[in-house]
Amino acid sequence: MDILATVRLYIGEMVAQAGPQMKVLLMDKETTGIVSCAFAQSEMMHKEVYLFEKLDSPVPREQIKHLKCIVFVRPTQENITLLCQELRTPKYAQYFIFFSNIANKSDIKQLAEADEEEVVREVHEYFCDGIPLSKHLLSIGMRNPYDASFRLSTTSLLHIKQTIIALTLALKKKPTVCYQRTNEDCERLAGEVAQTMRREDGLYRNCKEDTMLLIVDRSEDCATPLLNQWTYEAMVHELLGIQNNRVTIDGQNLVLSELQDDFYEKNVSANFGEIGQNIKTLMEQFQSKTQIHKNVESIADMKSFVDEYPQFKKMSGTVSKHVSVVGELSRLVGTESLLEVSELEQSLVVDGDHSQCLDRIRVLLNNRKISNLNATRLVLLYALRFESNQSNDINGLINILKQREPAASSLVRSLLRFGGATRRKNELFGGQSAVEMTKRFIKGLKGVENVYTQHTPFLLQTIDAISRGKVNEQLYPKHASSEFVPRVDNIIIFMVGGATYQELFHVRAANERRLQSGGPAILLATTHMLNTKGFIEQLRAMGGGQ
Amino acid sequence: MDGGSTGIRQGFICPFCLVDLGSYNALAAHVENDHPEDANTPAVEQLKGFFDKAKRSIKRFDPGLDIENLRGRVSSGLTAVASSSSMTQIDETSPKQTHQNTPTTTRSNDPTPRFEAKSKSRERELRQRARRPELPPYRPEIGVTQKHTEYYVRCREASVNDLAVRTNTLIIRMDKLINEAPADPAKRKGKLTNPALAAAMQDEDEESAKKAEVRSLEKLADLAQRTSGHLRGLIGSSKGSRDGTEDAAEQLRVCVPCLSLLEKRELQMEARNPPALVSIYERLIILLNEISNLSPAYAKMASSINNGEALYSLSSAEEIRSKIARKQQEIDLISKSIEGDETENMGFRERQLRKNIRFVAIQTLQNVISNMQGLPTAEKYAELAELHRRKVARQVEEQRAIAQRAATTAARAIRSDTSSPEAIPAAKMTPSSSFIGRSVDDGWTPELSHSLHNNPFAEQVEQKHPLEEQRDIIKGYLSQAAAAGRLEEVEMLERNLRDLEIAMREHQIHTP
Repeated sequence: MDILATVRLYIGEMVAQAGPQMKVLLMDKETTGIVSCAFAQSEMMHKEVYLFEKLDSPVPREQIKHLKCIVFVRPTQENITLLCQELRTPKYAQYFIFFSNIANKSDIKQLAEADEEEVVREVHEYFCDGIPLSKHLLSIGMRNPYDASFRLSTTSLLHIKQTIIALTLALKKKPTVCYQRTNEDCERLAGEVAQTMRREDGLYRNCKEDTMLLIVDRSEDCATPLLNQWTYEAMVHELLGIQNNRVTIDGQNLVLSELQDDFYEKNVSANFGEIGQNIKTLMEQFQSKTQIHKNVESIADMKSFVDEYPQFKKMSGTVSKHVSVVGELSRLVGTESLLEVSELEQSLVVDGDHSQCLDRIRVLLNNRKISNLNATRLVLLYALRFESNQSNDINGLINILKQREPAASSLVRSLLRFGGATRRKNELFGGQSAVEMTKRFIKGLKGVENVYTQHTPFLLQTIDAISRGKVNEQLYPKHASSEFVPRVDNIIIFMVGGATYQELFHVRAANERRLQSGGPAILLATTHMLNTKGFIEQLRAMGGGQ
Repeated sequence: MDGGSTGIRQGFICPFCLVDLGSYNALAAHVENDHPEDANTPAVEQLKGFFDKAKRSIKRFDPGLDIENLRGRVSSGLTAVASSSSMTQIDETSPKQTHQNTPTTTRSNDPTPRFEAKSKSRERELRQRARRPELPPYRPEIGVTQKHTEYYVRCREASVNDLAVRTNTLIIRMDKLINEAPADPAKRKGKLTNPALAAAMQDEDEESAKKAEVRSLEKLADLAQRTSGHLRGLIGSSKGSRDGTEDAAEQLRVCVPCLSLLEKRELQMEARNPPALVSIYERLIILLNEISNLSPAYAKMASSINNGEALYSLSSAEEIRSKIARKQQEIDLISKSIEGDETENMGFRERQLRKNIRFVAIQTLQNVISNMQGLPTAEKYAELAELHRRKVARQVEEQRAIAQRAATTAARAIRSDTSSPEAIPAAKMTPSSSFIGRSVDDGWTPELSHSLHNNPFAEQVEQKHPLEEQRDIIKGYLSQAAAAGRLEEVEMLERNLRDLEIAMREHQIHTP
């Protein structure tokens, strides 16, 4: 399953349907994200799509009568209304309409009646209704899907359902629908998805029955989005924030796409140390080719190297971009003492002793070098980890944190209500069974390899279990109205409430393992991509009314 | 295991009963015998994996290092690159390092590659290479699509027919008013406001609509233009001056819905005459396609010539080169003219559109130019050709020697292996002869004629007409099919050839 390739094919086909001549692409907010992650703008221009417009742009669009217009929008009521207006006074010569999801017959009729000048040539449904961030990752780009009672809002629930339906149709899969039993939203979603699949049976006629759809909720694991990360992609998102595969450094907008950037593709899962090393190797190769002799040891050396040798930029293409990204990461690691923070985080969530952790947090909270965000994350992790420890001092830490973060106590309360022990009902920090103990034992020893990356997301346990065909049917039952699939070759995991790039890292790894030792292919889909900042903002929004 | 990060125990400890068993084999046997119910659980699998890893680690690191030491080294591994820009050690609380925290270039003392970094990426590489053969290669395909165009058009027809009828009726009515109106302006005015007449015309609608469809478009367009010219100011005046003081001699009153019908009509007429930009743009796209097709051909020629081969002549390569250069110039000129200059009056988007067209043209050109290899001078080429001739001669000599050796060994092998009855025919078999005795029902494909390959490019440069080229290819196929005794194919190809020759005569291309 490669959702990015599929979406590229869909969009390519839209352009092909419109035929030759100059074209404009008319999109809405969501589909703009989809197109921008699937194609570079220049790539679209080489397909004769020269202009990109938004259907809901507040500024009236210019009339250019000799353009063909490809309309790619979600079939929402709002978009239908706007489109009707557009067709009554058409700005372009011809229209080719592609809805990103199932459209109502009545809406199509409404459009037809507005099309008095007969400018519409084609009307189709092409099922790309989520942003393909990479091969194995789809995101809706929905900031905060929950309401103040930690439940999905009605509009979020509908949108998520629609995205899941479109995703299965894009991949031509008719999955069996499973969900996380402990979460009511997951159950409701699973039910609605299964129902829609039944209703739209015709669309699923040629879809394969070899897939499992698993709907889980973020509340199952709140530790992962609160940790500092050290693999490239996860780290960039944590420290700089990736928005639809783009990151901004010094006001410069950089695209980080595995599609257009070989270096990124190769290093996306590499850890921070490896990347510096790989850039260095490339620079050394360049030096030996061009007979330049210059010592490149530090990131600063790399930066000056890129400035001094423009040929390197030309030859290595995108690498120089990564020099500035890595440079910025490295600066932040230094100024915010991230190694120290990360080490403490890891011992908090992996195997930390309570009183030791408490002491170390107190010290760091009083260290001015530690940013407010890092101080907050430490307290939240402490609360999550030692929530049920008799001698915990959550209140004491909240009082210290209050000087930096006025909403400290409401954040902790929201976190524990959202993903605390009573709600999640799983063994997030390891259980007492022999298997769990062994895992922790091994983790402890594996940790020797790298103290900063000992923790693994809870999702990994689920992935491992599914890969071996041993899904815990108590935790993740099949929905009653969903059909049974005899053989599962593909798994689509939809994580409500946001996923992290750390989780994607493990999905990637599982897909790579599959090439060697088999197992199902995995695709991760989610409402949005989280980093600690985003997760805390989400908690803040949910706790706002309390 | 809750003992905190420092409580790591070493040795071959059973994860279930925490007994140190001393060796990997002993531990594995112990787990299999004493904890059998978990024999296939991840724990054991992971345990095995872990020991593999541990073994590797031991190879990687000095055996004498203890775990705490290892940990220190590894974590410094992670930090080394990070630290090299601004810090040198993890322990930043120590005051003597504060001066090194300044973001100036502080070179790390330990720039050596990281063990884990290297080995991990190597593992990844290996993993990528070692693909499982059973997995079919994944070919992404487009997902489900659903077409609604037919339904849409059905819905539209219903409402649009109604509109066409209204518009046509209106135009006919106006035609009458303008061209067949009585000369007396007072009377004319009366007509317009006369409800009885309006009603009468209404009744006429159905009939006249049908007639209107027969009328030529030009006439209607002309009519609409003539009338709407008058109409522009009418709405205002019909609202403002009810007293009828204005001179109505040359004016008509039209209600707002009718006016909008007329305006739409006018716009549709305009759309039939696309602006000059469209045809210029079409020319540009043709040129871009041509140059994109020419440049790989040139690249092939240039590299062959630079190798000293005699496949293409230097002059023909030069000709292609100058042809590309001419197209480049034209593309540059046309795209520049499309972009227009700042003084031209056009909307922001229109300007952006033109800029982007220019951008694509320039980018395509850059691509072509950057892939263009230079050509040698005539003297240099002579040198290269001589070098190449010698090289080829040498290679031919070598190959002959190899073939001879191979032939003698093969002969010897056959002789030594006569015990097997199939040995001799097997050795004689050429790939195709293995199908002898079986009529081949499928899978016959002609190969591109060799004579075509061997043609010096000089002839191709004169660019045969595509039809002519196609004819040559088909002729080649025909002779191959005849030789292979494929009667069906021969028949089909002959038909094909006849069609082609007819087409060529139509295009007035000389046929032999």
